Amino acid sequence: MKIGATSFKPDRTQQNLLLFSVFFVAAPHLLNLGLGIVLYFSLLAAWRFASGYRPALQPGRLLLFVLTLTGAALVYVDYHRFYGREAGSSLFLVGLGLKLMEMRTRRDVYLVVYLAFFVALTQYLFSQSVALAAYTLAAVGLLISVLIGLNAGPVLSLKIQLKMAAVLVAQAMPIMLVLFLFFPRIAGPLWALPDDPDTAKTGLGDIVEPGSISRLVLSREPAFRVDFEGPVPAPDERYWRGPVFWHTDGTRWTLPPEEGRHDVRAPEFAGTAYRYTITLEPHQNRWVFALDLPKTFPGELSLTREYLLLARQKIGERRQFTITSYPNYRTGELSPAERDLGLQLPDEPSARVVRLVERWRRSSSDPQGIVNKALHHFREEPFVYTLNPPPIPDKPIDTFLFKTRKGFCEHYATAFVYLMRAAGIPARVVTGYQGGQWNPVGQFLEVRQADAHAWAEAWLPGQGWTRIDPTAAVAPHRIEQGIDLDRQWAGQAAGFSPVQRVLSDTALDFHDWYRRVRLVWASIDHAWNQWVLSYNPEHQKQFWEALGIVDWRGLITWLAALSVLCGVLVGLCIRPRRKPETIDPALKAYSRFLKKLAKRGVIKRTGEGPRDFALRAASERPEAKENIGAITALFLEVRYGQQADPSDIERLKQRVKAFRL
Amino acid sequence: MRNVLNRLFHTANTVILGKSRQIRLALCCLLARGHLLIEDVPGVGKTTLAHTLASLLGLNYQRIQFTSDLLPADIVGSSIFDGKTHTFHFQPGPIFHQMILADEINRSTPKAQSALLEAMEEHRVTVEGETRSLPEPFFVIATQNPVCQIGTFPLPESQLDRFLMRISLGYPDSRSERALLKGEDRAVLLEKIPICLSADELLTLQAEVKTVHVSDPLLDYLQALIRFSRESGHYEYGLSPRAGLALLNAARAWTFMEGRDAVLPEDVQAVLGPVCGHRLRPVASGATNADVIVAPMLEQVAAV
Repeated sequence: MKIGATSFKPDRTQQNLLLFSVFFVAAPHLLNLGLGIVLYFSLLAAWRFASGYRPALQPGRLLLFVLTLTGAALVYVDYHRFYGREAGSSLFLVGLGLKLMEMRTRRDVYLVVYLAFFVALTQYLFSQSVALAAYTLAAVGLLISVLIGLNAGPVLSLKIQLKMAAVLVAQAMPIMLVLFLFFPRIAGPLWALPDDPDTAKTGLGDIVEPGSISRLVLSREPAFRVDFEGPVPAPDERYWRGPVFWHTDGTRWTLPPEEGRHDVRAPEFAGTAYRYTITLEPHQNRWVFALDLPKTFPGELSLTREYLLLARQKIGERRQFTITSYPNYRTGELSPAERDLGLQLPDEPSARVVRLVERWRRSSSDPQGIVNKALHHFREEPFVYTLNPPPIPDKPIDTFLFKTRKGFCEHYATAFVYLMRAAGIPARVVTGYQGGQWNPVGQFLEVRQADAHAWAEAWLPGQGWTRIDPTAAVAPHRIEQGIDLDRQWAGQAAGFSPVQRVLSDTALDFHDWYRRVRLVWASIDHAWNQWVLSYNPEHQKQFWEALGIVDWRGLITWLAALSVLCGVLVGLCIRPRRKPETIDPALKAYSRFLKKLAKRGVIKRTGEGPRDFALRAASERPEAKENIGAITALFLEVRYGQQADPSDIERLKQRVKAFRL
Repeated sequence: MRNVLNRLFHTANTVILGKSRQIRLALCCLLARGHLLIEDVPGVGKTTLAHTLASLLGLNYQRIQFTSDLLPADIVGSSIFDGKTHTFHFQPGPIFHQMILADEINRSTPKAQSALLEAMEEHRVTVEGETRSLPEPFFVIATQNPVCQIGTFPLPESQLDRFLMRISLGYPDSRSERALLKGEDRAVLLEKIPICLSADELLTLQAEVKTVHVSDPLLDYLQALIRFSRESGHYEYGLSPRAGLALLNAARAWTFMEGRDAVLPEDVQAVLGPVCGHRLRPVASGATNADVIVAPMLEQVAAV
């Protein structure tokens, strides 16, 4: 196809529509790319907009060259390379902006539009949310309307242009759906993206120290979502196990370096089994959070001796696993190495710790009794559960236990483990998530980063490792109701003056409304994850099997059936309108006549009347003047005249048949 | 009969120079029993055109100059007390003529405008409780200044709809203008032109126009045009059924003047602009030129 390479001046409305669409397409990259790149692109777009009104502003070749160098330099300064997700997308954005500046021919405009399509695609490297999908669909519609305007010229109004584009997009949707469902899926990501070291992440970390969990508590980001296939555990059973910490230097608790395989002693399980599918958000670690304790899980996961599930690779994208867990379990004996780890203390306990522990030991000889004494201690002494504990620079556990007594779950868990170890009971700190919000709309449990929690495990003879949550002793509501983000926001507003209290009431009302919106939105997002993003080769195979497709023959049968169905539907829509035209034999003959002329380059325009056309055709093909005139006259007589004679139709047919050019 | 029409046409062309399409359209309007609206700047020959037609057809002719203080009674007439007989006599207004030239109709108030427009639609007037018929044939040529000029009351859409056609004369080309400048005074010329057609003959012609054949395929095309005006989104509102009828009548008259007995798509296209231009308002542009307004209809609706 030849696209005019001549100088091209689009109508100003069309150009502004193009600029708007391009800007619309690029806008989501504001969240993904460096500010410099975004500003650079916006500047170029604004420049182009301005030069639509004052052509003198159009940059010359030298300036363009400098701009190109600047753009490349910006990318390099930001990312130190030209490949990879961020750098590559930036480079595309820079290219799009530069191409805007040198839109001179019609071909350039097409190039800009196609580049914009590509830039829209690069956004999926950063996010695949349902919101982005809807946004991209709108962006594609806009770009199509630009193409329509480009081809139709100024005849169409903007409204019609947009309407036509919307209709086109809507018509493309079923095709998109069929391709999505039936095009063979490829396992894993299509292309491997290099690890981006600076990718920010929220979530549990690989150390525990004061503040490591409470920093998450205002984060509404989901950590994972769970669909249960049966009963749902009660709130106080919802402990989602994450990394387990043995080693401490007195302030921070750290994970041992990556260890070899251990023999995992299978615990004995009893009681209700919970079977569920967990959809994990990416968190850049190998941990798979499972309900205490997992029994069956997919083969690609492995279980550590701390009963933590590990994936083979870091969870860098959203993953799904189906797991069965039992809340009642009994682990076996303790190995000497584990006993040593479980009793490790960074230094000699202070005198007051020794005194406290000795008092417990004296009154009760068995470990369970000591545990109860310790929990009693937390419950009866004036301990406060707070999000904003005072900072403790030195000897945090000792100071917390005897002086400040204000802490969050990590303070209680670490202090409790310290006390147990001082009393000679093997203990360790477990981090993970506790609770979660039941979404009644989507019927699933959503666990957010704010639900991050730390608790303790003590090894008791006869029971093995037993979960003990000292936070529950101090703040039972944390365990029973979960972290209530909305109340916390309002609580921060409540406080000092009456005005602020009124405001906080409004805030509560607003949050009530907001909570409902959030629930609906979360279930839409979850459904999107379940049905669209997790549609992998395995799911596709299941879907095909449900349709009875076992091999390529079945697939072709289905596709053929779908095409026939589409054809019938389209046919039904179109036929009634064509009916009156196709019946008239005179028109049929005349159409043949038109076709013959069209082959020789004489084409009748849509709105052109037959007589006008005959005059034009005769002047273009003078040698056929007589025939053209006679055929047209016959046709007019038959079609519009008063008494149509059947013999006239025959004569018309004959003449058209004999008509040669 | 057709010879008469041809002679009429040619004679008119000698008075109004270089405006044969407009003269044809005016005659077509007359044959279709419709009224004509001429919109143009002053001095391009609107009045002369009306006067010429009246003289050629031998119709009795009256000109009403519309001014801002014109009252309905000035148009339809009123009763006057006769001192001798001690009775009231109805003094007919200028409307009781066969051909009315309503000059600069948009200079007067809507009240006076509506008095004329009612008469145009009903072919009769009601004065002081008594209904009086207007003479036949009855033909109104109204002229108006472009609406953007000062001191005008633009006709509302409902009243514009009463006019079968709206045409504009435009400036003459340089050759016609030269001929005009060189030639005789138009007023003298008007005195001299012969009557080509009597009122009765005109009525017969008008009746004959009604017999011009319209086939179903032609009606398909006409309806497609109307549907396009309503559904394409080019216009703020589509053509009314009355506009459809007007289009059909005008196309018949045009066909009759062409000397054929069945309407062709080209006949509809020839009158589409003058008949529909003032009844449509394009969404995208503020175009007032009839041919520009109907261009999308002509280009996009299949004509066969």
